[in-house]
Amino acid sequence: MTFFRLAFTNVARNLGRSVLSVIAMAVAAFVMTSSSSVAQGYPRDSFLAQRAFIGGDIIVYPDQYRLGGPTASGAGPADDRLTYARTAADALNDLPDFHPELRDEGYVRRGPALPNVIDLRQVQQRLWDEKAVKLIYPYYALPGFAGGPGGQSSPLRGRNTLLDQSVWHLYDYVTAGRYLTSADDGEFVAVVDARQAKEGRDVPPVGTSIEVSVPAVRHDPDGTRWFDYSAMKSFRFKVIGQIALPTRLLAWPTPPNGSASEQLYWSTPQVFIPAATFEQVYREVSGGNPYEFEQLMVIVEDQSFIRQAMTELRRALPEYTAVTVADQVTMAEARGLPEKVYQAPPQVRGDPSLRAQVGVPMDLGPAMTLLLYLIAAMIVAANMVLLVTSRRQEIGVLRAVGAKGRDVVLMILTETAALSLGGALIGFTLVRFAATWNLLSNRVGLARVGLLTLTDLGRVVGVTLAMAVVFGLFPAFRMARVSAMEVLRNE
Amino acid sequence: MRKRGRTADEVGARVGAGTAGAGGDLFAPGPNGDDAYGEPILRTVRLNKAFFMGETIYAVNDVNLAIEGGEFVLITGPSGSGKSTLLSLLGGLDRPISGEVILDGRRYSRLNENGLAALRRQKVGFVFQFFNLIPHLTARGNVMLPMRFAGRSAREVGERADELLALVGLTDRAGHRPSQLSGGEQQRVAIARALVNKPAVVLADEPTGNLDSKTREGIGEIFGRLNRETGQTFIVVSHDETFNGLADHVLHMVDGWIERNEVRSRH
Ligand SMILES: Nc1ncnc2c1ncn2[C@@H]1O[C@H](COP(=O)(O)OP(=O)(O)O)[C@@H](O)[C@H]1O
Ligand SMILES: [Mg+2]
Repeated sequence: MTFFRLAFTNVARNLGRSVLSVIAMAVAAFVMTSSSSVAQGYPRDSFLAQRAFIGGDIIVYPDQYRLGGPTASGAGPADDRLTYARTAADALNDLPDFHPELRDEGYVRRGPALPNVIDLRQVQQRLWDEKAVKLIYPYYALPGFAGGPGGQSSPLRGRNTLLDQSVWHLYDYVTAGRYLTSADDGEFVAVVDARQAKEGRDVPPVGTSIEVSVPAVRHDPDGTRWFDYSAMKSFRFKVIGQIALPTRLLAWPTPPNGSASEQLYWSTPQVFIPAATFEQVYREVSGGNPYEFEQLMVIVEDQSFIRQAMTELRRALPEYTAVTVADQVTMAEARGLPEKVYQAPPQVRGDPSLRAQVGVPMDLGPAMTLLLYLIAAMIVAANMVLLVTSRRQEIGVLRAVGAKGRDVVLMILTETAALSLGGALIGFTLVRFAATWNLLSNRVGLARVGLLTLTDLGRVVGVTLAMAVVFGLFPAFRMARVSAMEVLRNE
Repeated sequence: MRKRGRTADEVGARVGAGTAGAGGDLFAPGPNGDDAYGEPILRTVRLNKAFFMGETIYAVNDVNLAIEGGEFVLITGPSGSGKSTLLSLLGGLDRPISGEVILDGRRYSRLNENGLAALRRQKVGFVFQFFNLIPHLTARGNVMLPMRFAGRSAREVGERADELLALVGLTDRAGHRPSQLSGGEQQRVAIARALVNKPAVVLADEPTGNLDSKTREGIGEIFGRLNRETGQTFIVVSHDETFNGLADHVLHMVDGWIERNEVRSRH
């Protein structure tokens, strides 16, 4: 126990240097504690196929539901704002692609009387100054059925031909024919997903045409839009190309020592047509009205800082919901393969280690934190080396009066740990104070705040101690080798 | 009248048992092993220590010693004659290149570093020329240190430290740090520290080398008194006349050799 006492006395004794170490550790702990809100991003090319298919890095849609319910008087509220939709075709956004259960279980939609369209110009104005957002543009989709009413669901999807060329390079995914170009704008041409054939659906060959029936768009007196499936109108598009969107490779071992793999694809029943053509179709089914957007696509400057873009979007558009494609894909993957698998045996499909893919999410926040910790730990270690070297003589005395090598190691490790922990606790407290205030003002329960604080504290203390021990070992073992002879040296 | 320490008797018995048949001729009594007090508490057998600094310097050269429990041994010799080196070998601070040191029946060559540390803690007290106190601990803290490493309870250690500070006359200085003490006072703290674990042997390397003449006498007086009253063995390297009067065994070293080994009659 003596070495603990000595260690703590030593900390106090070299206050100047100790303070340096403490500050370094405090900064590291500060960053780590706040890392939950620090930028987290993805590598540049991760989930490229999915992002290209959706046409954005972030999806924005106006979902701020207000729940209605019976009032105290017993009468239902005049504006019961939520309805429960069961028709997949009703969802003019991509969520069901990531959450397939929505197709079966239905999903909550805005009811009448809430605006269900986005004022694109207003959004663009509000995002004018934001740096991480590079481009924002509308998403075009309409319910559609191939081969006339009652045919298979094939939503019509208006594509921005310019961005598909210059940003998403969708021509890279062409398996037959060619992809849409800006010259096709206004033409009744279409590109379909070749992989749909695998799922037993008819995929029209290049050169043939595809007929898509679209419900009429009606507007209630209050302006609410709805689809009238009893009045369908058919459009015929010339199929100029087929695409397939490869996502990742599923590879599994085949005993005794072989291996097999299957390329997975993101497949979609959507029929891609040029945006200009889409607007023409919309006018025809809506009685001349321009298209009203239900989803916006955001392209960010850099996927690595996608969190920053998310923060900007949330600040600028508080009444909208924004989700990143990468997060959605990650989430969908965590719950099993979102892509269809044909060859891989069922038992290997759930094994995440078998999925070779580009898009492993890279968590930059923790990496930066670790780096900072390493630097802080090295500052502490360097300080310790200096401190203990200046104490050679003293350690010699300790050895002479019977301290074992182990005692010296423990003494120095304790000192390192005390310094580091002191700093870490300062950094932790600074951030945690603000975070707790934030949580409490957001009405998070006290028990939960306590739990979160403890988990965070455990993490910070754990990492700090690990660093202190690892980096304290060098000075500690160096000094444990000092022999008792040191005390006789300076005669 | 000399009071023989309890330790000396126990030691004698154990050394006898321990060395019987084990050592052969190597452990036969040395040139002055046959004396009136039974088995010696500290023995060396053909002890050698050399330093290789371009040429080989034998700092300790084939030294055979037998030191009885309770003796006051004075080691003299010119500078560089190997006194400090011998002392460090006797205290187990350093390893010889050949030969053996046997303290209270324990052969140093059979002990690893931790074993030696434990032995130092239990049996040996050191007093150095440069007092070598830990600067940020109080006088009391410094005295307590070796006992703390021996794993004693804080209370026991505190009481023992107070007892020893009283013995060296520093009760009123217990709470002072080394920087607040005079040289003589610091050395007295160091002496108290050396004695705290009731060592069988106290080794002192020029303990008064850094003190003025008046303070020296004080240290000499303490050493003499302790040696008489507790029966602890003192081995002191010094040119100080103060110790000459106290010593009943004088070793004179020249070039690593024991040139003169004089066991005086008791007074
Ligand atoms: N660590 C060492 N390295 C090299 N030579 C040493 C070392 N310690 C002592 N010596 C040499 O050994 C000899 C004896 O030194 P020492 O025991 O200090 O003598 P004394 O204490 O009698 O003055 C000297 O020649 C000294 O230079
Ligand atoms: Mg010397």
